[in-house]
Amino acid sequence: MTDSRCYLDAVSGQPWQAAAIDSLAAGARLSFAAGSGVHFEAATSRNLVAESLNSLAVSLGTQASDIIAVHGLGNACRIAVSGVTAHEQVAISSISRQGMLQAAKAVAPELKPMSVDGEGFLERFESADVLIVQAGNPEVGTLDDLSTLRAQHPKALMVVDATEWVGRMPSLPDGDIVIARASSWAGPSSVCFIITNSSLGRERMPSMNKRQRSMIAPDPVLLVAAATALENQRTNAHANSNAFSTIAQLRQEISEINDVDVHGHETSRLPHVLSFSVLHLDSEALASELDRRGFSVGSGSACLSDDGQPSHVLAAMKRLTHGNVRVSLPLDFDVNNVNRFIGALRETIDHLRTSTGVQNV
Amino acid sequence: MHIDARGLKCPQPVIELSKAVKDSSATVITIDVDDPAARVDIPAWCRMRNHHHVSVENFAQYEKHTIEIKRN
Repeated sequence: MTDSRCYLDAVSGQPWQAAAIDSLAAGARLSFAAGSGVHFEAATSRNLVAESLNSLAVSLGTQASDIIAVHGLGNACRIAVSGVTAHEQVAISSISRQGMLQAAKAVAPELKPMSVDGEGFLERFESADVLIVQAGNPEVGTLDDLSTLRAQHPKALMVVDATEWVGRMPSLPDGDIVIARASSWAGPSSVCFIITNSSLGRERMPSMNKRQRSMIAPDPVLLVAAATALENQRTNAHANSNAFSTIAQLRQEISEINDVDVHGHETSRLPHVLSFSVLHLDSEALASELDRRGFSVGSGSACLSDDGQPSHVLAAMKRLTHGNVRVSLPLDFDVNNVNRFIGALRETIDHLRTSTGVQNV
Repeated sequence: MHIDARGLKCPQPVIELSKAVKDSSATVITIDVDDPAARVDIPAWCRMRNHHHVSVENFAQYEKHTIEIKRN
């Protein structure tokens, strides 16, 4: 049964690479003591952390001293903006993830949201001291041109949520402070990184003592798994060009289905993400029916949230918020399974529209 | 033509609109809604179905959308 399943919700986490799972087991045999002790086992833990950071630095093309490993995306968002001071003007993409919006509000009470157009691209805005943007929106996939943004605002501090970029794209995005997450390269999703890319970025990082660092650090064993996964992923670069063309084909076929609103930009996008909304249907019903047929997709918006608020991303883009489905390909996706998806989606839409009496309205 | 879709959750208000267009010859439809998703979804429905979203008026407990129906 599980063999026939097709998992298409990589943004919410994806199966770890085999090498990462192996390194987890090997790491657990070596690293169990807190790194603060003076004994052999503590030194072993410290060494594993140092080796992992060195390996990550090589994979990312940066220095180990420019990487802070953090447990949890919420901590990563908070630390990334913790150097912002209250008197600075802070502008944030209105389609940033909730964790980033909350972290930014906490340091900048007069946060300025930057509006986006119908495809999710940032619209032109007045300058600000700090820009909080994304290297690829995790919900709809749209990729802003960050190098142009950089050129337009040369003095601003650029904080970039690159949680779906790093591991998918060959190099780090533009930005002074970059957030990455290991689930994007098929490692553990709780392991996140803040990467400083410039002297401006480095100046804004909080100076933390060993104790403070250990409070936010991931488990060393998970860090080892994250480093191994990224090392492995670097040698597997063709996976993302396959993802790009597979999504392009899916996008084309889905846009031919009647009354479906396909989101984001056709080509300026993350390779693995596709979001669309099906008129007259409920997101949860779509995801459940697809699940019954063996396909796991992300169901975005409105009716699922506790307060009934529609997805702030789709709302900002003025897209249809109900009936939303997000497809995101894992690194090891099987193209034959994805080809079966379009048929299952058509059947699901027909079935639900018929059973809810909206087939011909 | 007027639709009172207060109390209906998404996607029901939009379904009511589509049904009204199909089952009537109305050229202007007003609809009252209180679901927060409808604020976004009604203009999006207009875009997808080539109707004209004329206006939205805000009241304390609901909002009223006015739509001009384009019939070919």
